[in-house]
Amino acid sequence: MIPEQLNIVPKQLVLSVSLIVINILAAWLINVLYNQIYSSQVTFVTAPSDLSVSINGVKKDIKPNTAIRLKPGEYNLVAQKNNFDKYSGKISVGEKKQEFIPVQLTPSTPIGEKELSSEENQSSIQDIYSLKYTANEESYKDIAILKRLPVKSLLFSIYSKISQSAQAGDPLTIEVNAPYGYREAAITLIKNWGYDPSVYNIQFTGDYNNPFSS
Amino acid sequence: MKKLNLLLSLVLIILISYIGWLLYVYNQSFYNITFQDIPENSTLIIYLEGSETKNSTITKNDNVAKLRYGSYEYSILSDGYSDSRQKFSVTKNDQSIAVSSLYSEKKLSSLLKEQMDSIHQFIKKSYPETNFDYQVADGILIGKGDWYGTILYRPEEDSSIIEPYRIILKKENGDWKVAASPQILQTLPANPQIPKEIIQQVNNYSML
Repeated sequence: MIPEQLNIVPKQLVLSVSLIVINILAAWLINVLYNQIYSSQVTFVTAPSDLSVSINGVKKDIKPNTAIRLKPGEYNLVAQKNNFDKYSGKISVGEKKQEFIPVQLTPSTPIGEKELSSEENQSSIQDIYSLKYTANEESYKDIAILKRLPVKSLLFSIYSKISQSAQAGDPLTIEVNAPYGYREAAITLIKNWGYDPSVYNIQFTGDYNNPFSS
Repeated sequence: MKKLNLLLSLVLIILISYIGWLLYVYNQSFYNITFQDIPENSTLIIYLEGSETKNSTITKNDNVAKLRYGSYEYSILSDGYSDSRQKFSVTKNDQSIAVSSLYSEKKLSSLLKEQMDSIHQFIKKSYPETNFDYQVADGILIGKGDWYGTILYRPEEDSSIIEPYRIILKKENGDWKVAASPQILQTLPANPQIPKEIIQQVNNYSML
């Protein structure tokens, strides 16, 4: 009815609709190709792994080992999760086709500490350190200890920590959670692995209280 | 015949020039390395890195060695000094190297016997806890007797669960000062002013 009212032949209508669809498809294709050519695949390596990330105020669904596309430039990044300090800062996406951006949050509660010591998050921390430290051979040798962490035994646990501000060459932070009398055993274990514990920033947690600190 | 003599002379000149040039290049490949702070009455033995063959021997009065580009080690031959090897590299320049002379274990342990009481008194004064709950292990003197490290520990019935606190002292102008307060482990990040070797030796010190 409508084509007749508008005095349009059905054949012309089909042709017009087809042309519009083809135009939309072409525009979509051009946009996809443009994004493919002029944007980078950005993978966020995060610890903890399931944090909430906003880029320039837009919430992004960041899944472990999944890349999103971003055009080269600077972005405002906000990363947060319960039991961790919120992080706000700038990230820079370069013109490489593939970029890995490390994001790590500092635990603010014992629950966060515990979460960060999980196998999955320790593995993410290892990846983050590897990304940050590859330029520095000497410190890269020291971070090989991460392959051994976390350690969770009946007597003590050893795991690594990282802050967003950590730079290549900064000492690796290792936390030792052990009761009285077993902290030395944790240090001995690190020595027995062949690593020099004195090069790390070692922090004792749990019921630790240095009797000599004023 | 004249032509042959001329040709032979020319070949000889070229050969001599070539040998002369080789000698010049060989001579230029040596650099003057001046060793400073060699202890009195001692000899410095220089080896190629990893080799047992002596490369040069120098003394305080004759302290320049001609060495080629590469990696070397030196050790001090003298009573009272450690003969442990120290590495150094020769770059493509003349250079000066400050000799790191450390006392031998025998000399350090003899010095420690003389000074242990005064060192322990200083620690007990600095950390009154050591007068009651904690005890001070003998410890070790390091370097030229200017560093000292020991363990403060609370005696337990079960010796396997002792928690040792390591402390490092430094002698400055004849007086001992705390360089690193007692910690279960002394680390480089927390003590950037203390040489790595000192920290490692104190961390590896055991009361056993």
